[in-house]
Amino acid sequence: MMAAPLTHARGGTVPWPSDDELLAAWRRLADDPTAAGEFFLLALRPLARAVLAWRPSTDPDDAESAATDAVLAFCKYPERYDPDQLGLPAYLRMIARRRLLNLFDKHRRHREHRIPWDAVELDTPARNEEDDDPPPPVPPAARAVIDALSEVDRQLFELMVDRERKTSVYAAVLGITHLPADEQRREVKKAKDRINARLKRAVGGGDG
Amino acid sequence: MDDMVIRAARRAARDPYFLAFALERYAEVQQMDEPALSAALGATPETLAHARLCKMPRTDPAGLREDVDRIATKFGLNRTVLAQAVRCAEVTETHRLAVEQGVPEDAAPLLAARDRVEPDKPGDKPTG
Repeated sequence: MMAAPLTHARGGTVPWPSDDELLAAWRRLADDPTAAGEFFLLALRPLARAVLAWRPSTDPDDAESAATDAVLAFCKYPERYDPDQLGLPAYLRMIARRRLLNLFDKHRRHREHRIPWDAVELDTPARNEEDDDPPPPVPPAARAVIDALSEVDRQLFELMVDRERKTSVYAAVLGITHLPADEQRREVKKAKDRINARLKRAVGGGDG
Repeated sequence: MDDMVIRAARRAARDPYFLAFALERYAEVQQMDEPALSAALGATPETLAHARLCKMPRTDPAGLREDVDRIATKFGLNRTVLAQAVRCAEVTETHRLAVEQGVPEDAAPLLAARDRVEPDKPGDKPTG
């Protein structure tokens, strides 16, 4: 079966396989040299579409590239994933988003400095090594809060984890890009504060 | 087969962790294009993509035999060609590293000396 091109997916998502299916494929990666192909079949397309949904203006080739890099990295180091810390789709999305941001940065540096692509490529691995690091441990109480977040709040939370600073990115997730800039900033701040407050309450640092 | 997975499998050829790396080196050395590589391996586009995404077999003789058997059996590939591809990648990588590090080639752990062709069926004796 030849699947639809990613360009058809703008604004849409592809459902992830069940957690059981993904986790079973993850467990096979450690011992079975043939397991990565199956993992790619399960995860690559939903991940690429999730990247595109996260940044709808992204070139679909860049989204696919970020997702591919993320799954390749994941298959290389399956032992770095801890299912007690983060759901597998969220973990993969986190890696892919960092890869995408790296790719944007690479494009930007190329445009700004007209650095030959070969030189940019040489400069990249050291930056990407960070991307393969596992996320910092999440306290179990906070884990429960994160798991209970709505889809929009979960996307906002992942942006915060990624240290995204652009209001426009948060505004796109909130669906408020039609609002004036200052109102977008207010709404984004409100949403981030709400998520932070829930997390602080969960880990006992509550400020209400 | 998902065309994205086929493209991802080609991309894996940059990374020695994946079997794609060995298949790429082997195709280069043998001057094979993709259809020729597929034919030599007895692979379809789908099984070739899956094979490329496999973890590179271990390099110790027993590990190599076990991993090559497992991959070849699962995807119906020619295990002799598969083993040759892995050995080919070992040799070209060893040579590349020796050149990069300025190490005389005969001081590097040349695996070419072990460049025997693995038997096509488990239980058969190696040919060299």
